[in-house]
Amino acid sequence: MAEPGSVQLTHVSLMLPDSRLILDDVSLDLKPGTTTALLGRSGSGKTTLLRMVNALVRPTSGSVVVDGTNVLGLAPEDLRTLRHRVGYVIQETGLFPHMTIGRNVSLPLELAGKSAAEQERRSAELLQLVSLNPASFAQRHPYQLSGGQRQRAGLARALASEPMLLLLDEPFGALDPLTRAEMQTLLRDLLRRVKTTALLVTHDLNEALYLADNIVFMEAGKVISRTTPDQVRTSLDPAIVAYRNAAGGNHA
Amino acid sequence: MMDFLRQHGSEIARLMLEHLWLTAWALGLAMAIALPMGILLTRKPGLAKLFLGIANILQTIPSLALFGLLLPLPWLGERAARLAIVALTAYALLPILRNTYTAIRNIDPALRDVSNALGMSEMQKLMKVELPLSASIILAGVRTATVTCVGVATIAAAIGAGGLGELIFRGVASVDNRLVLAGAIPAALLALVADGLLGLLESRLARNTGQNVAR
Repeated sequence: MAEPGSVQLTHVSLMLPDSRLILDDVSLDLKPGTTTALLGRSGSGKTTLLRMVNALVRPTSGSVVVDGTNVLGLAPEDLRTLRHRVGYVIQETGLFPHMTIGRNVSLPLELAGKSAAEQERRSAELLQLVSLNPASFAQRHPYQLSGGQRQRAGLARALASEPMLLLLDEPFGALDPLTRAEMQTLLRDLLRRVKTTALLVTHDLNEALYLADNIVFMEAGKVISRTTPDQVRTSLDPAIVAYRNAAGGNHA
Repeated sequence: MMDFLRQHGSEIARLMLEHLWLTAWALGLAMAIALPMGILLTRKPGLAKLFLGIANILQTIPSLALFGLLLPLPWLGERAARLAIVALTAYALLPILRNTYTAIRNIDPALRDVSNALGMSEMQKLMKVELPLSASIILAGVRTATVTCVGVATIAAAIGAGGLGELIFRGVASVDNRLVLAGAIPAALLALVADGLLGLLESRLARNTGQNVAR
């Protein structure tokens, strides 16, 4: 019996119709409650791998099992139910521009058919959780917020349905370094508090070291190394050393 | 001048109402056809070229020629107003169809992903995301269609469908400029007012969706 929030991707490959191989026989096992970072260059397939977990992309071979359920065999309705329990945060544009921040944040509850009163209560709670004052932010539209504030709201929305799993696709990639550091601290806090499983795509080694329990390095559609932050800090593997050198500083 | 208005005032009002009646019917029909069809085409993009092409051909036919082409048809040719409404509808289709289709197709793919990732159904995507985000562009299409219809409706008088064009044609035939202007000025005003009002609504919608904020 799988525990809530477990993910197993087994031997997944993705070949495009023009026979380009985007993912080549990748396996990934996420233990409940852990945070795993996927690191790699642009085009290494890390985002595609993340998008397979909630079936935004389907592999051409291999299996995807989330919380004990074979995602690829789900009927559309059951897939929607599963997606209700998986938070998804992307860089920049994740919020709906025509909705207020309050509605954006409580949208998962609206979709789940919760009452207006509960949506409002929960959205205030969630905004507070990410340090946005509901009184001044709930009624604003995304374009009236700074990049960091938008990303906070995006996080709040992903947490709205109390997800068993969080998918974070370069969530802070578009932020300036200071805001980015703030958001990383916030996310670390949140991950500790909500105890959900998380998969984080990033190309920032320091971010991965700071946030993740496990780090998976990818290159050209393959996993080249599975490690932990401690191992990364001392590894002599040339690929990891190259990353360390490029990243410069180090979160202790 | 006052004499003229006293004499023709009620006729001008009647023809103006007729003009509005023709335009409103045509727009209503065009929206009833083009909106669902535009949405459908976004689901079956393979068909988009064909249907947009047909609508494009309809709009390219000169209006007087279209009236002439429809005149010999059995049911249509019987009543001029009926024929005029069908022809006007044909003109109004393209802008509404094209804008509905393009607006929905051009929605940021990232927002589409998020809609899917949130577990939205097709209907929820349409009602909560696609239509609200496309509203101002669809309305821009309706606005273009309205202005076209008000204009082409003027020509409908040539086949006896009534409307303000009747005064213009009569004025030209009897070399009476006052009569020409009595048709032309209200027709022009009608188009300008409709354009202005819909334009206002359009920019309000665009603002509400957080688009084109700079405009």
